[in-house]
Amino acid sequence: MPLASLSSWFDTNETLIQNIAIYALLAFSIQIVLRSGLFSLASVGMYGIGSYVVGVLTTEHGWAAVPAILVAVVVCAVVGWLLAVLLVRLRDLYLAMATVAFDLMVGVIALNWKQVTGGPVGLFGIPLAVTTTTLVVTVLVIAALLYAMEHGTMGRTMETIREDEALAQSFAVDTRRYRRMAFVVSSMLGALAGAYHALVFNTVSPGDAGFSLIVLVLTMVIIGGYGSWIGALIGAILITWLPLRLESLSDWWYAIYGAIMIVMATFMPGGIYGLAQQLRRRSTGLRTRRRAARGLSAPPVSGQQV
Amino acid sequence: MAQQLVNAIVLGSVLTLFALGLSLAWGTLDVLNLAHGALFVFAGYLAYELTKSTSLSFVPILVIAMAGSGIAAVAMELVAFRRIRTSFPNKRQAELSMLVASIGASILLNQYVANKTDNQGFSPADRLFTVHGYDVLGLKITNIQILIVVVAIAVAVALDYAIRRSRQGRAVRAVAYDPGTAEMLGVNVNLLSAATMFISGALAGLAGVLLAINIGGEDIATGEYYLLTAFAILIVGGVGSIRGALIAAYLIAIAETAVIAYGPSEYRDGVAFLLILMVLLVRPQGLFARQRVQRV
Repeated sequence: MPLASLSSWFDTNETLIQNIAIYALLAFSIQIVLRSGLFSLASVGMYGIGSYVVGVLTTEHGWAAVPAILVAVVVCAVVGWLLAVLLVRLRDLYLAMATVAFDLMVGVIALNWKQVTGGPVGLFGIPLAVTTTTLVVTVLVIAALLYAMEHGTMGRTMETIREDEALAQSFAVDTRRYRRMAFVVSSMLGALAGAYHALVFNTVSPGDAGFSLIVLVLTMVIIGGYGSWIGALIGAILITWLPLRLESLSDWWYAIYGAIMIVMATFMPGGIYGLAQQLRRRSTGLRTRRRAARGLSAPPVSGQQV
Repeated sequence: MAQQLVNAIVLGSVLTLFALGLSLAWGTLDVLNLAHGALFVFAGYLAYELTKSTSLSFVPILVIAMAGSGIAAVAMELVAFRRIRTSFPNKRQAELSMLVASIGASILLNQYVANKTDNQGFSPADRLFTVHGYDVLGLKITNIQILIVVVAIAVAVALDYAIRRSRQGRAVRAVAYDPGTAEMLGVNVNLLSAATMFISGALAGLAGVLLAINIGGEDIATGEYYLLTAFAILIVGGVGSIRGALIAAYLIAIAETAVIAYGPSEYRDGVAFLLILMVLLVRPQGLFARQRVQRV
């Protein structure tokens, strides 16, 4: 019985789950670069390129889904590497600007290269080759990889680069290499999200990867917290689900959503993930202190327990 | 040809007014205010509403609308930006959070306007400002277009002078360079930041009202085109540089108008984005700004 209700819940919310999974992949792609101290939003452009590559290959050339996805990811990895080399000198808001310009150029080209992209109408009839299960499994696999990366040497190195680039260089870290790597991985994830979007919703249009998508994904990552993949996932779930919830409340739902964003951005420096970590640290701190206080009054613990 | 140039100069003037406010906020307070487009539309809406419900004439309505968008910008500063700037552990995190807070503010303002106008475009009635066309040596130009060009250049010159020469201008530059030291030297940083945001918002409002009259109406989507083009102006002109913004605004306006008139007109939007990429690749500090010293 509970299994049946679970499956009916799944059926009614399938589109929501698909959207969350695709946004989660895109949010991961932004979180990776932000975590390495690179304010790059290029993966939204890769999302556009990825969805068009898959769209063109599957509809015009009759390719199967899997090779088309692979080509999309490889193409974007190359483009991402080129971008990283070209934009090597840029930092912070300037890098953000340059990558936003790149994303919007992708949109302009998609709109105007009519023979290939279908112009303003976009592409139709892309096969529905990706199931919701595949989507969810992909998100879980990527999350596991990100978890491993965050806890390994690479994650710590990238954190050092973010906090103090000169320090990292003085420890013989090739910061430019890491920068390029973060760019490439982020681009590949963006391409994957775009490819899945095309194969789940079977259309691609030039408006898909516009300025509003950049704003949406950035919001997810910052509100969720860019310190960890968990933050990006929380953000993707919350920012996809919250508008739907608020929509049923009143005509003013979108305004309320805006107000909630202002409050969250103002009072949570590390996003929801950062807040959760702070609370956890505070509670473990309390426990340690309590234990220490008890230790003073209780008889000494035997040596074996250490 | 000459008519195209007239169109470009009018477009460049609106862009100048819009970009100056954005540049001021980014250059001095490190706020990349994504709500600037919403402030611009908000003032246009205020002018429309005041024209409908009061019998005030053009100048008082313009002043009230500018004050309205200025106050909205100050509210953002007081509620969000100031707290983020002073209490967040590092600058990069503060920049990101201010960006997201400004996205929230933009949604809030835009939705207010959309609800009040039932999601329709709005245009201030003719009563506000009667547009006359003139024929000057075969060129068509209207009185509002002349007003826009004169106001844009006057505001840019006045702002440039104020920032370079006046006591307050020096204080603003000091805050931009190092707010901590400026505070120690007796600059009231909080007051100055609020005043800067007010001017920034009021300039967005000025552009919004004048444009609404010139093109005969706007809706909440109007702000986005101006916001994205203003990014290009800031990058090309150099962030915080008023002269740079003025020159870049006209350059981009001429380039866009030329593409519309003689080139592949669908690529109009691409002009600004391509310029952003090219300038950042070749001269990241902007074409007209002096080299910025970067410290480790």
